[in-house]
Amino acid sequence: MSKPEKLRLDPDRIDVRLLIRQAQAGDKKAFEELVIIYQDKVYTLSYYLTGNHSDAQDLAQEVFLKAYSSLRSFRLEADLGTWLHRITVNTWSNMRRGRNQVLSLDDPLQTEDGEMERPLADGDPTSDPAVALEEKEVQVMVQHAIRSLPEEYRAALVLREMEGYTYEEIAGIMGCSLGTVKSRLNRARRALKEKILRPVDHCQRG
Amino acid sequence: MKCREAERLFYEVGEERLDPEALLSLRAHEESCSRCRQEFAAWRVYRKAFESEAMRITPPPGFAARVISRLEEAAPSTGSSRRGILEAFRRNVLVKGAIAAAAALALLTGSLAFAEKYWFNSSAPRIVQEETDGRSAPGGLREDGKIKEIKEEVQVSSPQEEAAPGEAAAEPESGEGETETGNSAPTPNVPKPKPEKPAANEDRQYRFMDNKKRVITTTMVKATVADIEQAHRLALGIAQSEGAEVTSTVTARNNGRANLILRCTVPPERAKSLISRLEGLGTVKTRDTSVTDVTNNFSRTLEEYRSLSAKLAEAPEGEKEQLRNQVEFLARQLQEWDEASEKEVIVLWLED
Repeated sequence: MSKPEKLRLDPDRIDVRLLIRQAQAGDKKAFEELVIIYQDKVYTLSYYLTGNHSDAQDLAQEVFLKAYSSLRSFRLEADLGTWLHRITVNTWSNMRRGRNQVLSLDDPLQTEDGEMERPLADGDPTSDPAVALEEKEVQVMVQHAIRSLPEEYRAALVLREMEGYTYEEIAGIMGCSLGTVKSRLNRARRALKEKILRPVDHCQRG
Repeated sequence: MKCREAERLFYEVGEERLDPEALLSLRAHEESCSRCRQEFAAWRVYRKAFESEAMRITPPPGFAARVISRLEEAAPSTGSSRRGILEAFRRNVLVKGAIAAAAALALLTGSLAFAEKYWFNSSAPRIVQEETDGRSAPGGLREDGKIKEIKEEVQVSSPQEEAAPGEAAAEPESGEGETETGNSAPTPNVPKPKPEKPAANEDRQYRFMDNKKRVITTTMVKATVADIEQAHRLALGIAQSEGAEVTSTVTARNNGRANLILRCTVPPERAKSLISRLEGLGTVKTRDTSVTDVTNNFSRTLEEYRSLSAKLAEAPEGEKEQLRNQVEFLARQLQEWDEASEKEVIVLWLED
């Protein structure tokens, strides 16, 4: 499966503030550039929250629509990526609350059929096929384990380990206390380990 | 330093943010505490996965343009779009959940060797040694080479129809195996035919036994050979003559050296002979055998399969296609487990 070509724009090398100001004034072209700059960050979190591309697209689109409508209230000294992540978590929470609770938090989330391809199929560049196999496998293990975690664990873990936010920043994004973040991350790590360990519980080495 | 403080530094502050003194203290604690050493070593592997580019998910092309398009066409209120999203969730969430469970189980079980390596045998000295070896390490993987080409063949057996209880897990009927495997193909990486999908109005029913123990034995053999293409052809011939079924092949090029990983399943009584003959292709560097009990995973997936099959039977025509694909996927997963548990899995890694 070919991956879409990535359009990478580094926020550090672009005058994001200028774009924000232009977008705040109603310039949709400027806003589109902001979307391109931040779409990977928003989409990645959306994907890990929802567990599939279809819903991730819906969620990420919703985030940017909300961001546009609220952009006038955005303070330029703040970090737009953090603000967008906060909107992502809030929007997801609202969507979850608004629908019938079909699944419990501990239920696994959906995946796309295409993701069941063997780990080495897309050929990550690395130095050794065994390393490639192992590296890809552990990525797949972690991806699937993340998606089977309760959503509040999932969000905290992605924000911490993938986005590199501090505990305090995560508390701000998720709208909870620092203690809650600590607790969720501790539990998330334990759960993640358990979920990866579980299939080999009965393993014996021959 | 106490474990609690070590955990705080490791997880909460993060190694990259520690000052040199704190980092030294953390290292000293790891030296003296095997529990923390193992836990941190394992988590570094996870952390590396988290930080890898592959974990970042990219939106489809044209995503930004669609956002702008929606901005232009939508009223300021987004209430209607939210309703659409919620409806989509209601439509999709239940049926896809079962697939996710099966997917996770399949992938996790398939990663036994890796999990074993890092969880059952992980310790700081071992990890350090592997890091030096360039194979893998918490500190980073070797970046001195590029895989130029990676190909893979994945073969999925066609489910058998109307089998008696327990028989769906058995080997394909006479002749079917030869057609499917293509083991005799002289050249590698020839795509194999995928199983035919049932007709649009045809819903197959597969029967699986859920009251038997399923254990998968996997042997991984790594060997160096003089001519990898010739070794590949010989390996395919050996596999065929031993009644093995090649299920996937990965080829790669590393610093000008060809590498090949071949996975096959073989009847248990032929496994020893097959391994012995495959080892004769070159100089064996490592051989490792592991055993995994997938009984519980199988039972859970089977429940999901039955549940989805029941839904498929009652689903309106418009929803059948998606459900049918999911049911077929679960059936294939169950079959793979069944087949692997009734045979042995051999993974051959060759490099020239």
